[in-house]
Amino acid sequence: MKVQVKTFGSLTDILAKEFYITANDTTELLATLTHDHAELAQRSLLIAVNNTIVKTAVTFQENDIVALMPPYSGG
Amino acid sequence: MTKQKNDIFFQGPIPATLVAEAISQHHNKPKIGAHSIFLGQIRADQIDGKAVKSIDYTTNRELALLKMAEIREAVFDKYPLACMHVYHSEGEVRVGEICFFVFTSSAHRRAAMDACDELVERIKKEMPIWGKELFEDDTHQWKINK
Repeated sequence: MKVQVKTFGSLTDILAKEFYITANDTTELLATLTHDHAELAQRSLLIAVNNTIVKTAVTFQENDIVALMPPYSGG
Repeated sequence: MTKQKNDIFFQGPIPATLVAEAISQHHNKPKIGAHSIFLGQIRADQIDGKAVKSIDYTTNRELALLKMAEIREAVFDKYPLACMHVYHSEGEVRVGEICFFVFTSSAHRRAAMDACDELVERIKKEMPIWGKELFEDDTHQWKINK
């Protein structure tokens, strides 16, 4: 499935802010990104698929929007 | 009961005049007996001998506004509030400027104070907002909430 990935916070120092990638699920997406950017392996990440936070692996539908987010630091 | 429905994000620092206007807009609400206000200000933290000069805030805006709606509903359900207003900066805010404004109003002080406190804590913990601390020498580090 082709999905759109959006990155936030410190992840934008490592990855582009927006890009398209092909992956079947969140696990495969993270494995691909970590393979290309080893520094991601130590990161604590929150994932949202179509604006819903997901805690377990989620299978993608075509054109899903996946947000990769480091711990929040507002205020 | 008035609820601020619009976007909570304010481009750049939150001006003191916005706080004053928020207070004056409640003069015609005679059932209100207490307001509680929290203001977050950018602090000149010293990190490895370098001083923070500003924080550049970015957000996952869509998700943040969904989350804010959820927090707002939960806090209105929990406390007998008359009003609630929340503003958070997006973009660069310099040391000494205001980046976060929470304003709650109720008939008696306890509800306004407790709701304000809970809103501040929940927003800092649950809202997809990130602060990039910019130093005088143009380097940066990403803020970590304690």
